[in-house]
Amino acid sequence: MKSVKSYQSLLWIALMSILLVYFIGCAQKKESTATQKVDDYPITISVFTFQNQQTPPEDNKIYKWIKDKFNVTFKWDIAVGQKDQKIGTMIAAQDYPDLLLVDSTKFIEAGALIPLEDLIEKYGPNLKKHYASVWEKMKEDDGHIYCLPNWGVIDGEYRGSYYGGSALWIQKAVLKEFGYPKIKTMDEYFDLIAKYKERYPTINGLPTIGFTILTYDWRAFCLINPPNFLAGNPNNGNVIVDNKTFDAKVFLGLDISKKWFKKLNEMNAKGLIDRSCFVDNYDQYMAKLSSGRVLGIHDQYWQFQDATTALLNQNLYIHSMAPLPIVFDDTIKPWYRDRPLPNLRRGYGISIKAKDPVRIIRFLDAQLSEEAQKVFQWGILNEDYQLDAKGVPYRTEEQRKQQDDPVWKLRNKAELWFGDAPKMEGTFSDGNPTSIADVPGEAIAIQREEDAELLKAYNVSSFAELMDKNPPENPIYYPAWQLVPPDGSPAQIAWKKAEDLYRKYLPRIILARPAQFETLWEEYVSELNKVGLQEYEKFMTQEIKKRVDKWSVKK
Amino acid sequence: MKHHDKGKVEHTFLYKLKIQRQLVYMSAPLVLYVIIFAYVPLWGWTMAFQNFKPARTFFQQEWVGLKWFMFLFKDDNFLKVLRNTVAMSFINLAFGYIGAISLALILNEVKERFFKRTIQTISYLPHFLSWVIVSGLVSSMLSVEDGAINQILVSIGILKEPIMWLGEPKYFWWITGFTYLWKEIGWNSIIYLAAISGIDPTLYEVAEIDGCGRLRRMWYITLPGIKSTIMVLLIMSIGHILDAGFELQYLLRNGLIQDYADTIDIYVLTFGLNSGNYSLATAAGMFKNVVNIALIFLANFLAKRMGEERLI
Repeated sequence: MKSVKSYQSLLWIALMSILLVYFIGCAQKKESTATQKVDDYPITISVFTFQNQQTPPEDNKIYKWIKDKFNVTFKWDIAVGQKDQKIGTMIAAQDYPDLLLVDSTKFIEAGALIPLEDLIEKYGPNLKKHYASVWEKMKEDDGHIYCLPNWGVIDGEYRGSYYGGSALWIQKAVLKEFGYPKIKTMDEYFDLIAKYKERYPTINGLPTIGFTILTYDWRAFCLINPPNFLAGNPNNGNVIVDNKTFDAKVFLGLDISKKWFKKLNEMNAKGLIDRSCFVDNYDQYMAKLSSGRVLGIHDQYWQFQDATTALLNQNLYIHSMAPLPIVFDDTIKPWYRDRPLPNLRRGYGISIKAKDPVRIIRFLDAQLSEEAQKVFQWGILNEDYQLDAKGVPYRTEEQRKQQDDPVWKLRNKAELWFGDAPKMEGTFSDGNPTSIADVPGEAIAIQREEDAELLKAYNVSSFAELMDKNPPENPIYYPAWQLVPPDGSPAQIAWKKAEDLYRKYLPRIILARPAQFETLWEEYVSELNKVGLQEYEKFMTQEIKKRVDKWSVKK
Repeated sequence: MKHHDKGKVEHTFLYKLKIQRQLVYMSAPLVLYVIIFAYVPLWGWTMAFQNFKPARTFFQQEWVGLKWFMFLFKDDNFLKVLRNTVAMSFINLAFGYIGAISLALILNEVKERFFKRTIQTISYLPHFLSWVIVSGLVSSMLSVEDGAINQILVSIGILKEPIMWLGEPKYFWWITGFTYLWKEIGWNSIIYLAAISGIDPTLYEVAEIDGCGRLRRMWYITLPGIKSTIMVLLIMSIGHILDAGFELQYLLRNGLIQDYADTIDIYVLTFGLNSGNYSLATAAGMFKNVVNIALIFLANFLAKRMGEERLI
């Protein structure tokens, strides 16, 4: 009997304690919901993007923060492979998620987007303030704003040391090997690569690749763009623009292009060109760059910066790329680096299928607050960074390493969202740069030894400065690459035909025996002359002039 | 039926319907399925006769008659694509048939069961691979840098230096032909093996007594025994002559070989979805289907004339 009783009492105690814990727990929970300010009612926003990224894992820290703070969760629709196909499918089915990543007029013409200006006026004070300087430029011809530029709208002062633009890139190891020579011209550039390849026929056991070209899908601009820069023109996409008359000219078949492809043809004869690049896709290109055996490319940095990270994590950082402002000859002044500019017609727009545009705008506005921007760009205070006595952010060595770790970033940063969302660039109101990497102390701390040595040798402080210490003022209409002819227009059809042609001819021209070069080039140019590129040039000239008219009055 | 009057026919029809109602119930969902997924979408063909713009409703569309069909037959690209499609299709068809039938004949002669089963399993496994994987395999096997094919051919002295297989237009049709053969040979031979197993074994015994060797038995007994299967399958595949495949060509194509690699499906995709010309793409797709249906009827008619098995 006694034992039974003691059992019973034990049971009672256990039960009581469970209840107690339960009540305490409940009380705490209530308390926590009470203290936490949830600004708005819950919503799930579906987002279409073609950023080349994975879907973030459920337990990602920053997305959790977004959920707690703004009551917003995302449903991602990431287009892999060819984005225009996905966009075409969505348009054909009239089936859109809430937010669409825009990069052309396709969605606008299909009537897939709602005008945003009234919504912003009413519900988006942060957005309104942020975009005030480019408000008129954001308007399409019909006077409406359909998308929120993802990059290039500067708040405060811009001191970016990051160079994300075009260049002829060369492996840092090559520059180091030859004592950081000053090279300016195309010939010097390829000579250096040839010399290095001769000295090191293999890198890490794999054959050295002198020069490779990204030729896949829309990324193939790396194939056709170089002559424009080599001739000293800024990045106007497919055309060269006369800065006085504003006439646009396609340079695919011009002499500057001939000069470049003739050089590539000669280099191929010497075995410097990666022959298989014409059949490779983007992943294969990235794999080659990440192996550290490619000596030179023409590209824009954002497109291959993951390769730098990959090399860093393999301790092959010296095999990553440095940009060089290479031109045809000494008389030409390079114009690779441009001033920061709003990335118009690229960014998120709200689709006609969005059930609650007001709520979405409120979120887009809220996430542009300084508090949220610091979380996106710096991380969580005392987890990802600390503040010193003066309120300047800094990171520990371990935290800095994390910023280079793709696996860590996938779980602890919201890059997929942040990448194309409206964002602050420049400085916050407290004077700190929006990017921790630009805080002077941090910039020195995260600078790799290899880079420090290189930059010192060229007497510059950053890769941006290496390209151009003081880039010229952007022309009023700049940049023409933002202008894309609408689907089905004669200009678009002409360009599509030209594209088919250069995809077919340029690889053949590069791979041909040097004796055949002239004949093939002539054939290519005569085919090009048949596709009616005048239509394209007419369209571009007209749009550029439109911009000049609209934008110079306001100034 | 001729001898009955009209009232009776109705009566018997309803009567039949009534006594077969279980069958009607069972087939109704399938008929519905076909109507919804095979006939209703045909409505979309109207796009081929319009200047289709996605944002407008059906009544706001601009009608342009046969404009897009005219455009197709004047377009060099389309004619090229048509040529590629037919060429690759014939190569695939020939390779596929000869390969699968030969494999079935040879396997049929193998008496060792374990060996036969092993070969069969190995040969049909690639069928279950997706084209994405297969194209990855093909492109790395044929790679100019470190592809196995080039390495072997160079090391045994057939080639002096590696060839960029996927960069030479003249090889592309054959590459797809062999890839299809490799992927589908085992799977396609299963149906022939099944047909062969239905042949009366006494025929073989009789032939053997009459002094027929192996090859003769194959020729006089096995092949005629599966002739009807071959014909039915041939008719069915002739209806697909304009389906030369899409994934493999799409995944392996590049600028150097696009003139020989693009098929009608790729044409539809690049114009329809990439460039937003839905009307032109619909016209091309419609052309393809009409030709396919015509070919089926033609093959069926020919088979009937030759006194063979028919599909319809």
